[in-house]
Amino acid sequence: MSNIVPFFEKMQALDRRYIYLVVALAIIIPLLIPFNSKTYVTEPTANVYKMIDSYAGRSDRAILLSFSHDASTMAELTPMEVAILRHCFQRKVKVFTLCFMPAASPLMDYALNIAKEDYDVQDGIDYCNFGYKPYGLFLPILLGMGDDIAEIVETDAQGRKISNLPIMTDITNYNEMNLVVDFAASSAVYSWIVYARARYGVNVAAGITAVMAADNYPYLQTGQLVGMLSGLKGAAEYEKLVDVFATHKNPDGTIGRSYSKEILQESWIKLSDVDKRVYKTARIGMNAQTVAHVMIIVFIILGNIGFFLSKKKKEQEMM
Amino acid sequence: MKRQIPLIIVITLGFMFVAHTFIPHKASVAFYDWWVSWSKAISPFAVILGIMSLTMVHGTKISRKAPNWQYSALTLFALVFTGASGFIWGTSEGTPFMWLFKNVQMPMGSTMFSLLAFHIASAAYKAFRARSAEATVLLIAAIIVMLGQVPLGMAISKWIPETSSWILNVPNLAAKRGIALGVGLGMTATSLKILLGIERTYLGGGD
Amino acid sequence: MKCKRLKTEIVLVLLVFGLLLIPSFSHAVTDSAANMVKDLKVEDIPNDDGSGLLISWIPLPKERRIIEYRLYRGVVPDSLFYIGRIDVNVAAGFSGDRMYYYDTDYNYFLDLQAPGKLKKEKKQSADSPLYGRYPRDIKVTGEQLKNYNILGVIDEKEYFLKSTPVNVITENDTTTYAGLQLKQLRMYKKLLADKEYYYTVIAVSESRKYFPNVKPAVGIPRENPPEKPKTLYAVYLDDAQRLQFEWSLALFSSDHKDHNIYKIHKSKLAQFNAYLEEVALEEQNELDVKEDSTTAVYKVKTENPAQLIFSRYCGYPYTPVKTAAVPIVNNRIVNDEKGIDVVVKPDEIDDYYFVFSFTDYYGNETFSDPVVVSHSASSDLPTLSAFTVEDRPDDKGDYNYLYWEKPVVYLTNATFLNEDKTKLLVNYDVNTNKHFKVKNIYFEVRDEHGNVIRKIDEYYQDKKLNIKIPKELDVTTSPLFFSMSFKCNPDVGDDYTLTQKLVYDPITKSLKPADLFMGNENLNSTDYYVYKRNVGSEEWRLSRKVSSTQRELDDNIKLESTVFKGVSKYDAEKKMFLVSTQVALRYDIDRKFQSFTKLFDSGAKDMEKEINEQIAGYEAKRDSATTDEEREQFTEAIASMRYILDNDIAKELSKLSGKQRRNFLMRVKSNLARSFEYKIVKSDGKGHFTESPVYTTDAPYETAADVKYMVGLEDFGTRYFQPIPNWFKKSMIPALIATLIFGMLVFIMINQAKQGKDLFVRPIAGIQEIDNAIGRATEMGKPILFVPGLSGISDVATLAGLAILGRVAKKSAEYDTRILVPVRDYLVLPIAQEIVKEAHYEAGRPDTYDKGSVFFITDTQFAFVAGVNGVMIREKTATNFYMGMFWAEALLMTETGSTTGAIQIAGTDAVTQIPFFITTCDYTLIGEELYAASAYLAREPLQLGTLKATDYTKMLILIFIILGTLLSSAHLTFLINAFPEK
Repeated sequence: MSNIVPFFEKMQALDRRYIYLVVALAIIIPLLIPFNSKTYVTEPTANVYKMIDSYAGRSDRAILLSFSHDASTMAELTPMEVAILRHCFQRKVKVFTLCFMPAASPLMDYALNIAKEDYDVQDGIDYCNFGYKPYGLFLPILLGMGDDIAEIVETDAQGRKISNLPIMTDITNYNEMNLVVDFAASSAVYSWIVYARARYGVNVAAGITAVMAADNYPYLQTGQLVGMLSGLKGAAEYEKLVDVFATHKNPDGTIGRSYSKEILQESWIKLSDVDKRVYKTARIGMNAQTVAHVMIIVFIILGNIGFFLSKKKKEQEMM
Repeated sequence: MKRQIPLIIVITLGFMFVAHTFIPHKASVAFYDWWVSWSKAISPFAVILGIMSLTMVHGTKISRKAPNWQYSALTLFALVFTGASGFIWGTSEGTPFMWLFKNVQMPMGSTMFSLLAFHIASAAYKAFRARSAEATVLLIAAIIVMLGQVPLGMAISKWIPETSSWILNVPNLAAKRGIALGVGLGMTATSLKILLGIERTYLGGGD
Repeated sequence: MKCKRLKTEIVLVLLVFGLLLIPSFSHAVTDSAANMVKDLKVEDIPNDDGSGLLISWIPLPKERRIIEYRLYRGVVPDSLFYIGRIDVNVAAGFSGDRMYYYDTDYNYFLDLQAPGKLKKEKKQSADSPLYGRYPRDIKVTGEQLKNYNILGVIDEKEYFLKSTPVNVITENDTTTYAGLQLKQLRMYKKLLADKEYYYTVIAVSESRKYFPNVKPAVGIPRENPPEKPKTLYAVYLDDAQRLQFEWSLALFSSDHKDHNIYKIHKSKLAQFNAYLEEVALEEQNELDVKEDSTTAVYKVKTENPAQLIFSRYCGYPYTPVKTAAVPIVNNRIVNDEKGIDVVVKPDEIDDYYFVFSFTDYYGNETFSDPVVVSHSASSDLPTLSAFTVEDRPDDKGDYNYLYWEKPVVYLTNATFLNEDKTKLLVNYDVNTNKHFKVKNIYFEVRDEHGNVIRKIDEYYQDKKLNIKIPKELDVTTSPLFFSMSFKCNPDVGDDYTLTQKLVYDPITKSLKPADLFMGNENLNSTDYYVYKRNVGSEEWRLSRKVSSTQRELDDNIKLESTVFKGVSKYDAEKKMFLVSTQVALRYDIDRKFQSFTKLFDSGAKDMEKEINEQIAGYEAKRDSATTDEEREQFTEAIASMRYILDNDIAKELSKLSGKQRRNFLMRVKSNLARSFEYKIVKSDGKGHFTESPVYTTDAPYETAADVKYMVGLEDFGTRYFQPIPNWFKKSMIPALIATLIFGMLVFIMINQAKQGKDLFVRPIAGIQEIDNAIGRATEMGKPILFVPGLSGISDVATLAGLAILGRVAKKSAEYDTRILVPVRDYLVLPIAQEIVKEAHYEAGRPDTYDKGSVFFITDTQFAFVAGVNGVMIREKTATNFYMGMFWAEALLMTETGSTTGAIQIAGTDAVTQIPFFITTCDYTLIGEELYAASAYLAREPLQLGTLKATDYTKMLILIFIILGTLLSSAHLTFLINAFPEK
């Protein structure tokens, strides 16, 4: 006991630079050496997955990914975008991308380029990048897509007339492009709920940074958001869902199976089995986050033990 | 007189903008837009004030050879160089200005931002002590929320994430709303004080 | 020694900077051909009005690090002007094989932002054909007007009140034009059909090197027939003997003219197909002849066996009606106006095919595939009840409000809350309109056998229902049946019920809402097409298509009116572009004749003289005509001419002159442009539709338009509607009342304070410590740091922070302690300087004021933090104040402050940053305490009075919150409904 007390007392007055060092190591090491950890899929993430998966192979269904963030929140949001795009490419879901911020335009190319690498998908047939549209057109486009997407969006990122693209067969408006996923570090998704959902009944989901996620819970509770990926955690969950279902190798040689809660509960994806690092970025990041959280909790507990011991000591001295 | 004229301007325009909130008429909207476009035109001139202040402070340091005056020289050099590169080569993609923005400003900004993670850790370490009953509640809540955010929490018990989201959605949100209510009222009161000329410090001086 | 080290550091930093910049200026030397785009093609765009070209090319490989492709166009290959660019992301590269640029429709030609003088494109050789944009220099740009179809977009005031009459006197043109300077209009261009245009493209690299241009390619836009109509649905109502058609619209092209429907007897289909083939050959031949005039001309020989049964004009603006009802009366379809008189026997209706066609102004016609009718009865058509048009309240006068029918509630989503599938969360949505206020919604949930599972009374609509499903019910096999009824004000009637099923979907493994039914009508299968027609326009256009679960629509009617005029002439001397002075006015009641006038008095007089001469000429011709038909033609022509001179607007105008007349004309025009009539079509999109009559009302709609400008239009306010700008936002009444109560309380409290009543205010530790903290800095002989937040002067938090700065600066001046104020906002800087200066004067120490102590660092968030942290470390400040608005940077500053051992007092209303301040600062003013601080420090009656009033208002708000919670828990929602949602 007598040896422990001074140790904890020292911990009490620990130079903060040691804490910085430990936090740095707790983040860097798991990033360098990924280890296997469990990812638990939460309901809001699974709902997004289920809805996208129900469009698999249908030519009269599509989803729209709206990129409303810039490079500063890439770390959290890009893994989500890549995971959703992989899901779509693997399960043959038509996907459109669109942004109203000039800074988001390269991020769309970035995510598309990463996701399409392993898949035989073609621009204009399997997916289409509508590109950057000036923010002044935000509402006109958002509302106009309720009538006719090809008419209001007009051209894609490459300047091609959208109405002439093969992907647009069977796709006219929100009745077909029935899900919008908005990626943002802000409350941009609110406009989709208020205008597109309320007027045209389109399903809206959000991919959002962890800090902002709390603001969206009310919409999730009322069902105005069909689902939500929140921060790196949401991205990690989606990555797992893609690995467990969309890219699952069936015994008969085919790839992909439908979502099932039962299968999900018993599956366990080893990170080392996922060959490409970009497909597990979020899960590796979550490892780092877990370790960092645990380290902080350990510090707090150590600090408290020290605090109690020194308090006791003081009380004894007082007596 | 020096005080009265600005005060009259503040009071009249202030009440006009209050009225604008209640009047949706196109005349009111047109007046508001016209005024906003003026305020947009004013702010670029303020940049000059900023640059003058910066040059004066650092210029004095250099001329007096104050301690660390070299930093001041570097600051002024960076100011002139970045500004000049924008004026000479433009600010579009591919110009030296954009290059500086992407390769100097952005990474330095991100670095400062990521320091936050370290500071949060050390602040949490110092702050979360079970000094009193309230502090103990805070401590427990913090640990639950932190665990709830990572898979480990779920592995321990499924109640941890659920309790975590309850803490965030109920007591946390309630407190936030309470503060927001006070802030709203405080803002209204301060604005009213300015409108009525009770608060005049912003015109320079206390009373 | 230290200084020397610093110098070396600086040299090193500069060296690194310099090295880093090298790649941005240097670029590899590469040969020019390799840097040109490949295979530049210019092609005509199909199905357009002859104004579109498609430019495409193979872009350079990604390794060339191209950031943009710039396009140039001209009518000769040796002078090409910049028209636009396509940006490429350098890192990601371009993913497709070819790049495309559409030069179609009206797009940018010239406005005030264009360069002043014509310039060669940057970094081009002396013989390069490339120039920058068309300049403002009228001598250069004016010459280009003839090469394009130019549209001028002019603000109405500029056109009507500020244009100058300009006469261009040439041999065959003595017309007066309206002259406008470039600052008065914006110009858009469209290519001319059958004219040659040259294009070239250059690539620009990451280091902004302009690569050489590829040899210009030429293209000629050609007029093409409209796009083939995609679908036509034909329905025959046996009981009403009526044909109903619905079709899909083609891509817009400005030359569309008519929508037509034909019938073809089944036996003549082969002949029709032969005719179509020949039409295609003729169209191709027309193009061939244009390319090579020696080609033999081909003409269609086969007769078109199709008989026209319906035709309707479909010009600009392009969202025309796409349904038509054609009644068969006495075995005939008759339309005198279009000259249609066709025999159709109802019992032989199945012997016919029907085709739809678009015609354009050039006489081209494109047909849909032939379809046969499907039989139906009037009772199968969707039901459509009356609708109402009103002004939307509380707006600036840019919306009409349409509403119809009774409220609708429908399920949107269902989620199982547990694994046993016994707890279900169902979401619903309610759509209502101004007329019905929904009070309660009653949900009744039944199983397949009609057993009631749950009854819910939604007295407050939170858009969700929690439903417990009995364990014995397997929802994966048997659906749930919902029936929904309302309690509304006014009453909707007890028999008004909606039904919807929740059906298990095995794919998503959840319950999904099926279609919504009102009686037997499926509300998910139909839509409302809301059409409107302008007073001055011949045709209806779609306002919006809304789903049949909607009950209202806000129809936007823009406040600003602009004038569109073709620009083909210019006056180089006056530096003016010239546009026509003809102003179209209104159609007569039958929309047969349109009236117009001229902008300037002299033009109007000339026009009157000309028209009178024409009338005299027609009268003479009519009198000498031989046939009745001819006589009728001339009579009609005379009537239309007379209408131009005799209509009510013309009469009013003739009483005025000069600017007064033009002002009147402008107001008439803008009031006309904003007045609409409405009708609704409800349809399943496949020809089963019901059309409402045009909405009229007996109670005239209060109107914005000055009636004197709506001369001769009696239906105004009863059939034609224009939104009203409102003077008061009624939804703001609660806010106004609250503001007045607050203001009143402030006055009462200030009075009480002035009368010397002791007002108790709760002590706040943070504020009381401010004096001690300043004292501490004085004792230590170290400066004080004061950060007045990071936001601008328009943020109230900054103002509150500055108010505290005033008090702190005064105290520190009294104690003769230095205060450092780093500022992030330019506008805050002079104010903070003035405050600190005044504080020194008031403290009687003007000599100690140092202007450099209030200083600007940077407006970049994190760089500012770095600067502030530097100040803390170097100056070893003893006391740090943070008062105002802070974001993510808060902790970075306070942590540094706590390492330097300073006493820190923070105050902010940024809720997310409060926890950080509390953990790292000694005292924190939370939220409103920041705003109260100034009053605490001042201790004057005025300030304390306001503070006390704030407290009482807060108490009032709390009373309302508690009352609202209690009342709504007891199903009384009037209180919460009294407050607006936003």
